[in-house]
Amino acid sequence: MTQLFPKWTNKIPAAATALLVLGAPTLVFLVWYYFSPENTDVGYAPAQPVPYSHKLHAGLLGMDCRYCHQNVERGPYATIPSTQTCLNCHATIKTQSPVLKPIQEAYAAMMAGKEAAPIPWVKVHLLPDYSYFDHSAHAAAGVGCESCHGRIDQMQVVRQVKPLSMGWCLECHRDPEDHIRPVKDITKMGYEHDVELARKLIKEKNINPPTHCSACHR
Amino acid sequence: MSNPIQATKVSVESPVQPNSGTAYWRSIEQLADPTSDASAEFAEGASEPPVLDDVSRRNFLGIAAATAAVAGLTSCRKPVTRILPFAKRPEDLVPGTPKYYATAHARGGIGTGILVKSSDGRPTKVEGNPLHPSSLGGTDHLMQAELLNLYDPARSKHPVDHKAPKHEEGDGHGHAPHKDATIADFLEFWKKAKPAGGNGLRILMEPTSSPTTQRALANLQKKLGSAVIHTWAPVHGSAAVTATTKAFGSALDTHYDLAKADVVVSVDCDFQGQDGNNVRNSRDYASRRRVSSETEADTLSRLYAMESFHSLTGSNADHRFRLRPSEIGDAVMALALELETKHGLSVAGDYSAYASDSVPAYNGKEWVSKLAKDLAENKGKCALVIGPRLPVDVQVVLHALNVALGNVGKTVSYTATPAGMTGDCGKSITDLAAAMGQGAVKALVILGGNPVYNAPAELDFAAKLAKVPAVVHLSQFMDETSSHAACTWHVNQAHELEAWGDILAHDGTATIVQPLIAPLYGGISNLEMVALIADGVVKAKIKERRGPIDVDVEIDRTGYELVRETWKARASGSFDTYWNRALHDGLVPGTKAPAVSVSANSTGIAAAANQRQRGAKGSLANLEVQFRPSYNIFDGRYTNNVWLMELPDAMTKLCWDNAALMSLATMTEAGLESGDQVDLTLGGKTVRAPVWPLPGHADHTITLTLGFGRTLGEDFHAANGAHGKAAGYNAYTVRSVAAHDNGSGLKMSAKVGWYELATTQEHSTLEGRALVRETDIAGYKADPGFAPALNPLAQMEKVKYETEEKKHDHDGDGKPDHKPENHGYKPAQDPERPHSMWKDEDLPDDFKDPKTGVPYSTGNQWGMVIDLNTCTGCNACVSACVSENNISMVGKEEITMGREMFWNRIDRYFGSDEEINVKSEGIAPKFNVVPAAENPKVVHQMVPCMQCENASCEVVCPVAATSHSPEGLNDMAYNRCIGTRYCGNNCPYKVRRFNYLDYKGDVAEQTKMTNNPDVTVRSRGVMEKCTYCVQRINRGKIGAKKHDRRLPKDGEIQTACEQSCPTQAITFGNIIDKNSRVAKLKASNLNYGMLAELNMRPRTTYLAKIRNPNPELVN
Repeated sequence: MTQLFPKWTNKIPAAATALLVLGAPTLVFLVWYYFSPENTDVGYAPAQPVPYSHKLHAGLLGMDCRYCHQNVERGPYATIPSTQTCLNCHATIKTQSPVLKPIQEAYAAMMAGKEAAPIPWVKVHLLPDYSYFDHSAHAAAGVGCESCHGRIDQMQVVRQVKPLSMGWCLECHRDPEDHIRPVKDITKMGYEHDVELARKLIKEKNINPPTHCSACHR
Repeated sequence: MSNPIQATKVSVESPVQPNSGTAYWRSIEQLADPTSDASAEFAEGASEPPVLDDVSRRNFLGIAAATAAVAGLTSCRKPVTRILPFAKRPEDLVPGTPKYYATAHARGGIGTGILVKSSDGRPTKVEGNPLHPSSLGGTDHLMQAELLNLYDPARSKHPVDHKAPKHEEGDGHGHAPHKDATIADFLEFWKKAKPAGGNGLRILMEPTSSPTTQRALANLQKKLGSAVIHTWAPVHGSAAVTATTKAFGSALDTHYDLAKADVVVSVDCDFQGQDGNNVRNSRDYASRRRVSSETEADTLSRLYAMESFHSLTGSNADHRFRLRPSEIGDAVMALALELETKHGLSVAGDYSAYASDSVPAYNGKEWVSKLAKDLAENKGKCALVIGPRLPVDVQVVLHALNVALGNVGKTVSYTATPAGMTGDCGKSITDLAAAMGQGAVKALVILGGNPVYNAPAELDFAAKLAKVPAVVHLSQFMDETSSHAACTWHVNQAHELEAWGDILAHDGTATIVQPLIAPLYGGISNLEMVALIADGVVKAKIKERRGPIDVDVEIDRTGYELVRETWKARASGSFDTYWNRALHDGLVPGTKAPAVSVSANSTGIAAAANQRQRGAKGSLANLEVQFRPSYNIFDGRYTNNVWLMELPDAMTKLCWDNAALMSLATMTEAGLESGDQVDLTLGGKTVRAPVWPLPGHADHTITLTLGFGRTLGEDFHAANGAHGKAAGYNAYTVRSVAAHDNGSGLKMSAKVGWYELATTQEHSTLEGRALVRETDIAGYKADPGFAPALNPLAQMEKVKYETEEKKHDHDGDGKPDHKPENHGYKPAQDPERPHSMWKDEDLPDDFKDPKTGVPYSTGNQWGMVIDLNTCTGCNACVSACVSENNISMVGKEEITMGREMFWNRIDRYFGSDEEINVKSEGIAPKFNVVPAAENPKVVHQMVPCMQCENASCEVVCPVAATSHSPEGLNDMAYNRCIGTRYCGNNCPYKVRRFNYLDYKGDVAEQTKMTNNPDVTVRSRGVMEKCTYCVQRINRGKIGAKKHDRRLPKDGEIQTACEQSCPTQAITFGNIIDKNSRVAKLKASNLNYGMLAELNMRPRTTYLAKIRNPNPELVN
């Protein structure tokens, strides 16, 4: 009687076991890595309606972050500046530049006494609706802009550099000493971190970041 | 009083409180059989799945597979979200940070100051204005819910020309299409329709104290000399004005200073609930009912109430006299007689026909003489609070009594009734109807209101409207009047949060009503309409800053300028400073009306007293009737407001419907049961209504609540989805000018049908444990620690200790020879913090959070105290919570399944002397339900989440969606919840709420604008609960941190319920700060934890209720 299965099929159980042992962790790793915000969100750098360069304004020209993001110390949102803020300079500088067209249009509308349309900037740092983040609390504690947004002064196009995942938030909330600096330095890019000073500030200001659910979810 | 041994005989489930012998119950069904299923923890069907048509297993799997596939796709791409910053940023605007603006809420022509929260430009919450004399920071449930009316999707969105051809694109002959009518179109019409010189022009409006509206009306009468202004509101104070005119010779408003009154007698006046200056009166009253120690108990005031309906005020009274409406008058006359003859007061009039024993007894006792004695002993320190529904003659006598008792100038004061509020509404609308019937009215402009729905029935207002050639209705809704066939034009009205105006408070203080948002649908206010019909559009030139330059613009004349003109004429000093100060504070300085000194007009009083007829004897054949505005939807103006429709009525706990309320005795006599429909006939008109028993209601009297039974246009219901369907009956159909508030001769038919009513009164009952604790002043002084001692564990420990003492009685003299403690017996610990069942797991004093290990002895430790003495059960906190925390409304059907979503609730317990109730004992005890329901006492108890330190909900959550914060909050992370509902099952307080359906999923876009942006909107399958308003806590903490303060100051963070409470019965704060208000209250010997014996360590605790009965009226 001929054998129903050829001889090589004897290897299938062994091969299947080997595949399972090696393949399953690999699969878990791949999902874990590739489906995590580390991979899906970091590096997100959408094109903006006006190709605003932070490298030029914040880097070369040395403008303070708060000139435009004026509510960062006052409210939950740092806020994207109004068109008027752009016009503080661009009413007289680069008035003919084609890339500034939306701003020039807004200016013309305002001068004519009409309602100017807002510039539809694309949001880069996207937190889920169920987490409530407050910029002012972090600024008051002395967390630098750089800690979450990276070296903005070197970015031609703003991109997300941190995963903004809950685990990432908790890293700092559990142990803030790597990110606390004097409040006067929060907007400084390339700040040289001083752990001793951070520990001192944490103690002085009783910085005790919450890690319970209702700190961010409510 | 019965002893505890007797009490326990009845039934293990019977909620009898040992110290008072009071049995507590929530409903007649529970009273009849405390062991019945009606009080089960979960209502039948509480966990039934929604009924879906035609869903087979195959269908379901197909949908599930497709959903999974599509869900996978959506996660592949990151959504592109836009940020749209202002082109021109408004000054001082910080996105995400709310601003508050002071304005006023008007009801009955009178304003109460409010602060409205504006979240990035849209109003999202109403708070009381602490500076305003009528609010002092408190609100009521209606003010909270007014916000939802603003965003009601059913609001009228444009003017409607009913006579225009209804072509979609117009008719090609210059007629505007039906949909796109504008104010300009209306003006075109009005130019032609306006009667020359105002001849035949009638204006019908609700009375208002607004100075600018009065000025505009004066201007209108100057321009159109023959125009006649009529006033009508279904709930009005005309009788009170007539009464003061008779008693004192001029129209006056009556004010009470209940903070100064030792004895308060409410004569059919629900001053804590729905009558008049309720928020301020509640506050003043509560200031004399606050007690946290025995010494304070002596300062308690005493409240008596005479009423037919069982109102909130009656439910909080120390003695409540249950009388038919006509008997209330008799009792007042008897009181006058008693005060005259026994206490030497002189009151004009002859009262000899009213002997004190001719008035129905109170618990078998004559009471008028005792009340008279109490009043006479407190001359100048008592107040008779006069109800607006009382007949004029009774009111007149009550004014005379206040004068005779020396209260005027002390607890009672008078101010002149403001212009616009002095008319007699009943007479005014009767005159109008007569003129309409004669064809004398050429044009009728109706400003607000809804007379087709609520005008007195015998006037036949709707039919007479057909005889008027031009009828214009300004209204927020296409309501009965606007959609009536005779209505020529409907103009959409602006909401009070959309328009400029002004209004006077009860004491005459003026508030500028400022808009929080531009009119959503371009409506105009009453004020602007008056100006419009008088002047047409008046263009005004102003300079406006556009970008960097000023430009001249022409604008329509608006309410803003009209209001400014009024106050410019009255301002002192710089107008801008004056105006800005008035807007900022929410009141115009120096506008409080001066008190008027009065002298009693004895001929008027004698005439009123002498012409009064004694009421006929009550019987089933001759029922008396009282009409009251609905506690929730008032006169019908909130019919479409789901926050109020779903809010359980303060006393009946009915939602979504009204019922004909009567006493259980009357219902039994008529052979009816709850929900049976009957036909009620009064003055030849009939209405069909379901009956409902209200314990404590007067016999042979029926209370009909107004505001329900609307027959509205299509838009109204369609836009409201499932929510608007429950309707109730329309009591206006039997209400006449004569029987406006009270009437007699009502005929009730036998049962003609049955109607399902939804009630929450039996939801989440708590199995008869000592949840509410109370005593009277004497009982408190005799046993100051009674409240915590009612803890069953404390009682067990007491028995154990006594047994132990007996063991140590070696010589048998009945006394222990030495203390058991000396021989190794460990005495009872604090019963609020009992031993654990597992001995070695006893919780130490510095109890640590089980998960984080942080001790509950550092930082902020949040806690709350609810004072049962001052909680009046008014529902403001429930309404405030709905608004603050984006709570879903579920509809009548879901309510009947016990699925209401309110995070806090007010449990209303009736209590009756247990001996009255039990007819026979044994396995199947029988109960005397009717007498027990006659004159029950009431306790209102607000139940939010207890934020247990040792929470039972947390340990059963399989996904750690609910866990403890180091500040003692029982956190709930919605995005983590998978909906097992284990936590809800395990909560002994039943304060967790589950989203059985996606209740927020199908609400209109406008309605979404009410949502608080700081609170997650929950979806289907998620458990939710009270968080002590953690969003406010976080905001307060961040604010404190930013100012380099470590902890927020006491009182800086207020929960929504605490802030809204008119009586300040709720106190929230840091319990380990010994100077905080909450810690001080927790130190009171009245403080007890609900179900503390379960070792939950609730952070919310209660102060037991202390009553102040008249010793002569106690059994």
